Amino acid sequence: MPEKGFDEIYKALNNVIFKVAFRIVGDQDAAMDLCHEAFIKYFERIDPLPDLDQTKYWLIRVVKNLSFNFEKKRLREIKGINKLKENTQPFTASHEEQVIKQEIKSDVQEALLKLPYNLRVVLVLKEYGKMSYKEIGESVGISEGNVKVRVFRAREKLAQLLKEKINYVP
Amino acid sequence: MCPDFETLSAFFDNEIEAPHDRQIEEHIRSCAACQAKLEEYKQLSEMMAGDPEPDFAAGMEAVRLSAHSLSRIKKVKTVPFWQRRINIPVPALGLAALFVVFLGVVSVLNLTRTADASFAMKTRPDSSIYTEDKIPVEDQDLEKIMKALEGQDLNREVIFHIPDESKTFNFGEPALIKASDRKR
Repeated sequence: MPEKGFDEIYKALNNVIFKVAFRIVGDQDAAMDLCHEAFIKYFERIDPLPDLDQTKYWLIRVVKNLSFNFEKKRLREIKGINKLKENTQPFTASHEEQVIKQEIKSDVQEALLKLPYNLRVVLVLKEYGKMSYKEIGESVGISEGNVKVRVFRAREKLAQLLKEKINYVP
Repeated sequence: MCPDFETLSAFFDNEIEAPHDRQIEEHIRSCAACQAKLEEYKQLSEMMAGDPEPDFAAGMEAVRLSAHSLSRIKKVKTVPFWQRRINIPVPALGLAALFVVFLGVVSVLNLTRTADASFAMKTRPDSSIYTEDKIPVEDQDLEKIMKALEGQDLNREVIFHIPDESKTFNFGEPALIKASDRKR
């Protein structure tokens, strides 16, 4: 991959790639790691992609595939923190709560992270990746009909979560 | 009749094909419930788009630079075989060194070891029996052998035998070597 070409592609796509990565994993550092790995993989590609759109879908697919490991790790951590909360003294629990609070970015991001991974990925690719159902289907490896169903379910669930959040005043 | 919300969601994404999208559009104009649902999807989309994001410019620049330098490293990564490093465990290296030393000692010993057998000189005083005289190893010099023979009865028939496992080198007069009985 020639470096000049890489810089052009990077300039055009780093914004959208970061957004997609960040919205799926919900953590800035983790999102950076994903982008880093994806661009390295792009560098290592031997055969060039035909155009910018194809490059974008390819990079988003790589980010999406890589994000799965982060999701597994994240779920394990949440499980661990919940277990710790149950089993520890109040003073350590407050510390854990501080850690959780640092991770929370916004209501929308918090609600997004509460969506099941399969729904979240599809909605993120739609809303932040600006991809069509066909492109999402090809990236995720599901049919267009399935994308339609998942986008709809993700929207309904997200709207519900946000309503609960806004109504809930502690 | 209202389309289901799944279809409305797809309509919002411009994913309904040509004849049907018109029908839905017309329906929505006269249906408050569908308008409200569509408005909900619109608001949700705006909320997501407007959600603040961390400032990632600096971090992504680092990602770009790192990708560049990593790719450079990968380009020069092919090391010619004479520059390649190998890892040998110390015990294995020690064993190999010991083996080399052992081989060296054995070969040196082999080279310097003198023939343990001495020249055998068979003499036949008459045509009856052989008597065998052994000349010590140090006396393998031809001159000394000749001297040793000087005192002997010259009428005797003398046969030299070079020892079977001789470590001596063949040099000197070829005629003498030819003359010596190697076949036995």
